[in-house]
Amino acid sequence: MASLQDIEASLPSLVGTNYSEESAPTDIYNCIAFAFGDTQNWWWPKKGYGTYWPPGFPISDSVETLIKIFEVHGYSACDHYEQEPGYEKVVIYSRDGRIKHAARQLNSGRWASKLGEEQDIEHERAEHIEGAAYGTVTQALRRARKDWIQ
Amino acid sequence: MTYASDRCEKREYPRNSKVDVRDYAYATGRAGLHSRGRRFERGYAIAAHFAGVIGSRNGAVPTPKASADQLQGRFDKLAKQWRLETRFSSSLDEKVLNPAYQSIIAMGEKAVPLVLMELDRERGHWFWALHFMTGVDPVPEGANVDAARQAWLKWGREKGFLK
Repeated sequence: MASLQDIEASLPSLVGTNYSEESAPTDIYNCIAFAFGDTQNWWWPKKGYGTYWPPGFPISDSVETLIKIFEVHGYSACDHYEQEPGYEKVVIYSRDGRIKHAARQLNSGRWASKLGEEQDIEHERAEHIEGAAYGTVTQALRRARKDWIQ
Repeated sequence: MTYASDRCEKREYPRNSKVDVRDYAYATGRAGLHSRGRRFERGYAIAAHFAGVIGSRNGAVPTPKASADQLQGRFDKLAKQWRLETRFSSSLDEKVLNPAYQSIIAMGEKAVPLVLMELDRERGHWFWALHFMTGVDPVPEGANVDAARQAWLKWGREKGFLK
């Protein structure tokens, strides 16, 4: 299990911020699966090797491909990742156009991220896990919250 | 003109205290028995043979046991390095292209039991490595990580790699 020091060594933007560990480590699901609410599969564009990739989409780790998959799940691209009443949001992190990470926003406005094979964490802001490991936030997407009551 | 002997310097080779003095005596004696005819060839061959026997007692020459220990040590080091370098990554590409992971694949078939034991004990995305090290893929289509792991462990037990 990664210690907080290990996490901060890999994600130095977290240092000094308010984040918390929310699960035990597991290699069953990854950040992309977690962004879709799936905790049973490791989403990655490969055929076999224990991975899952939605059928009908290119076997590609391009940001464009992941955007298309989010769109099928009711999301549409938006221009910022600040909290908006009535919407749930996800963000895609990338480097050189390749997917590196994904996170989803919680009702509280904080963000939930699964760190590779390690823990889930909650972090205050999407940019708090930007850096060499995950690149930068490239795209925010949103969809109407089903549980939203005006 | 420089002769080969001019470039050489006399060296002292300390005797290994772990070596039984009788081994040296016996090896020397055996080599000396063949002082006629093909003296050098026979003497060298015999001395080399006994040097191997002596060396193997000190771990200098790989024996099956020493070799297995070295293989395990190298595997453990690479597996640890791989986990440290890729533990926070969701990218299967980053995991399988990691140099430590590639080095494990390059260890070949003899390291398959080690990978299977690691998969059994510590889990991890070893399916790609196992596929390329064995040339087979027992993972059924659509299997998730748990199902892939179970498929490989079952295969390992059937092939006698795992108990």
